[in-house]
Amino acid sequence: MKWFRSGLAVLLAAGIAMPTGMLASSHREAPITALDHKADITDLYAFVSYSADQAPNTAPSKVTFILNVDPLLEPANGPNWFPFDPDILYEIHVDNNQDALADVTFQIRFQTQQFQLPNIPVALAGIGPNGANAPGTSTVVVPPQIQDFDNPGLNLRQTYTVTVVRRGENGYQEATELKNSDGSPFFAVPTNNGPRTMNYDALFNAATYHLENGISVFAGTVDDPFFIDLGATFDTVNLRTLASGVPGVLTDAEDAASENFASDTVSGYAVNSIALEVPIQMLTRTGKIEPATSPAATIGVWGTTSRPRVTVRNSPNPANSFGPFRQVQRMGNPLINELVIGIGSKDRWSMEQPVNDAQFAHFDLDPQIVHVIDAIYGGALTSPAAPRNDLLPLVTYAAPIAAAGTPAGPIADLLRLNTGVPATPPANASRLGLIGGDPAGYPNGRRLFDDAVDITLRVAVGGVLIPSFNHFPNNRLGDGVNVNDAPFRTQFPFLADSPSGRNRRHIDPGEPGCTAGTGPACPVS
Amino acid sequence: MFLVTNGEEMKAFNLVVASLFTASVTCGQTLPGTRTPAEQKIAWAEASIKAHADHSQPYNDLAVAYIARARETADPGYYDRAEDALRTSFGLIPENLEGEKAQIMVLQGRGEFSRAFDLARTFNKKTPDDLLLYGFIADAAVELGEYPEAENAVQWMLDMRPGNVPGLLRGAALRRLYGDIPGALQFFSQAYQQMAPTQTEELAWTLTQMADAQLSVGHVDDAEALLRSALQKFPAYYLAQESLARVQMARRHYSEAAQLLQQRNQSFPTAASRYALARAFEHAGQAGEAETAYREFEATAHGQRDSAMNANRELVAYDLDRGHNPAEALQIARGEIAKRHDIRTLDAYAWALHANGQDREAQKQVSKAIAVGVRDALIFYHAGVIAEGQNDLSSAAHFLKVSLETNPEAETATAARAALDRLTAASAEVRSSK
Repeated sequence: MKWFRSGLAVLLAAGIAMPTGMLASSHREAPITALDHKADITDLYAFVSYSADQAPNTAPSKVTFILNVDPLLEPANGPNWFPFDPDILYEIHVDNNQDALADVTFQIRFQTQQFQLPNIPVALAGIGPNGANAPGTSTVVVPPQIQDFDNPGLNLRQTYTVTVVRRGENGYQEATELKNSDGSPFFAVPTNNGPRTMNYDALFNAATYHLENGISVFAGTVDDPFFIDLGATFDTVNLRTLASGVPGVLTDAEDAASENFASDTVSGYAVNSIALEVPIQMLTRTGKIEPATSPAATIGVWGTTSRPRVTVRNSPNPANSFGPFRQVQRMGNPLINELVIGIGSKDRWSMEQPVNDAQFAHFDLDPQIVHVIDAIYGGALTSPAAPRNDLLPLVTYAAPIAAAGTPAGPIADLLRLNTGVPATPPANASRLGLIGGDPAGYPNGRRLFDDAVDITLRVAVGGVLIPSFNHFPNNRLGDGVNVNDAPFRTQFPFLADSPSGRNRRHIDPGEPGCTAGTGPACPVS
Repeated sequence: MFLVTNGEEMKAFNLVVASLFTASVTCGQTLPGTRTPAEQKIAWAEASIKAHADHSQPYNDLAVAYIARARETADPGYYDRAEDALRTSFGLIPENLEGEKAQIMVLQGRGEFSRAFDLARTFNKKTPDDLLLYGFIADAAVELGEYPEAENAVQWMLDMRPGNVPGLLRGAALRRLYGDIPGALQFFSQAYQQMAPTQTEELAWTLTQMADAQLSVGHVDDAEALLRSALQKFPAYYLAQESLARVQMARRHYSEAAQLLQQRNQSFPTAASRYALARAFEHAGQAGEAETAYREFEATAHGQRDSAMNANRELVAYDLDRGHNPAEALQIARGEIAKRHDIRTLDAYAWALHANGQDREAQKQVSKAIAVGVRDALIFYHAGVIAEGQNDLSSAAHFLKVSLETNPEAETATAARAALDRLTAASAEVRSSK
């Protein structure tokens, strides 16, 4: 009689080792996403929508969500540029009952059509009003300027679907696909090659869809709205010494200025963006627009990217799987995975569900970056001691974002937004959001112009949510980059035009004003 | 539920498998006088220690190289050397992660699966991005019979780094346990294609695993081809020799099997390999040699009975099959089942219970093994005989048929057919008496 050998595991264990991952830069904060740019979430924004002529205390009606992916896209880097990945499931999740589970999810999937002119070597367009033929023939080799999504010069065009999934009682899910009233598809705006090839603004406007149910959708390649002195930050927080004479500390004048004193490393780069504007009553658990004082007014938002997974079992095992996808990355608050989560946990963090974040609480409430910066300042900066309960508003439902009586819920990295707080008119808004006296800004949601870097430095390192720590220099920490290099729209989707490949400009540290002591201000387009 | 092989799928897959291992058949042979991959790693680590004696990592590298050499040679003495290197490493940096991982590998190598499991989980909690720690959890969990935990860990590996070799190899092992032989071969071949041609032992190991999977479903020729290729890549590889002996046993070429096992046992024989040799001699009709080999097995296995790395499941089989000591077999099996409940141990325990007339409990235990999903002719044969003992004749016939369908070349096939005939005759007799 035959008996089985034991020890397959013994033999496996003695086998192959693996290379370890490595941390790259801000937009590639985890080893997995350093290898998978298409699925790399750069930023998530959620804010009560506003308009250029917004009056103070206008009642909130809609929330805008923006999920940006695929970082630092160089607009001149043709000829294939930067399509969304049709294999990725992009999602924006909303928790409206403080359990850190998605109650409403927007699922976005892309489809690609290619090769409208398969014999042309690169994407070409923009010669003459009717295009240009090969000499002596009627064969179009250069189509006219691209002003719509049917122009063959696009050569690659993308459409996308948006599905709203609502979680009901007992885990029941109801899915609804959003559509244009005429059933036409949603097109994504391509990269801005340059003014000869395309009328980018015409495409941008054509690709901004306002649906009958009050939802608006947009997707495409746009200016990367994030602004930061990335090079200085990742040179071990080697922030520049500005007028205060202390590295990374601004003067009152610098702090108040709507201009830059160091170079925005992200300037001139594009990013792929998905934007949705949704009536608030579709988001709250009550189905109504709630006042800011209501415990039902605050939602938690996070974005994810997921790819199809290979399962151990050929059929998915419901016990171990959230579905046929594996989550590649998530984002709630900005800079959490970059600056807070330890390097040995970044991938696991990226792939986890927020509801399981208690395992990372030791990072959230005692950020190691605080100790690093304290060490850099040699003790000149006093930060609050751990556990940092002052940071709980970022990872639970708590004041000053959520109203009194709102259940705190589990520790979870969600971007919290009190949907009852009226949007601040753009002219009165502060880049410093909530800590700048502007109740509609980060960390109450996050707008495109909120200075996430300075706010994070002041809240996490300076501890300014604690009144006794809200003093100089804690409340003047900053990288010297106060504004984006491109102006934002003042209506949905609020994003700025992608720099064109032909004319894009990256603002460098050597330019006048972009390095300390070399000029009055760093140029902003 | 019993899975049966999809014949067409398997045929198509075999073509792919055949092409992949024949394509690079001469790439990584270990030539006489050249160093094996593990020997090279040992040399590199020793040189690194000379250059940086005050760093911990070179000692970790040396430990891992010794562990790899243990797998190349079956010499457990390398685990002692690995531990010596790790002591130095931990003296320089206590609890350094790479050292702890090597320590877990040593524990696995010595069969200390519970300790390995606990240590792997502890360090996984501290460093959840380390891929191999999930692999170590899975390795130990499989040995302990904690299959959901193993699957969860391997799924994390596949999710974190799709297509990674350690994840694929462990996924293949689990797929085999779950009865998905084509799926297991698919993962094995994906892993194989990613391996460097110079890593000859790893290539040979993977081919051997694929051969075992093929043999488990009666694909004897495919198994032999894979093993011949493995032995070309890593000559005299003891694991491939053991598997090739099983191929010869399946072909009823018992003398050839014995010859292979004699070669294999020339260095660092295990109790299990001694037992295999004894059985090959016995089947070949070499009674004297068989007797000697059985005595050597018995002495070795009894000597290891209380140690972590033991041959207690083989000892149970021996006691039941040849030693005529079912009481001792049950005692040993009870000791093992108290420590682990993997399918092999469950099956051994069930068979020992059956031999002691405790068929109801035996049926319960063998059902647990079958519930995992494994497609294994021996387990199904045991289940059939145990069901017959319970007078559950329809279940008995079912299990015996599945056993034969799973692997018509299995050593148990003759006995299964005889039992099935017996059941058919009994059933006919019942019908005629009515």
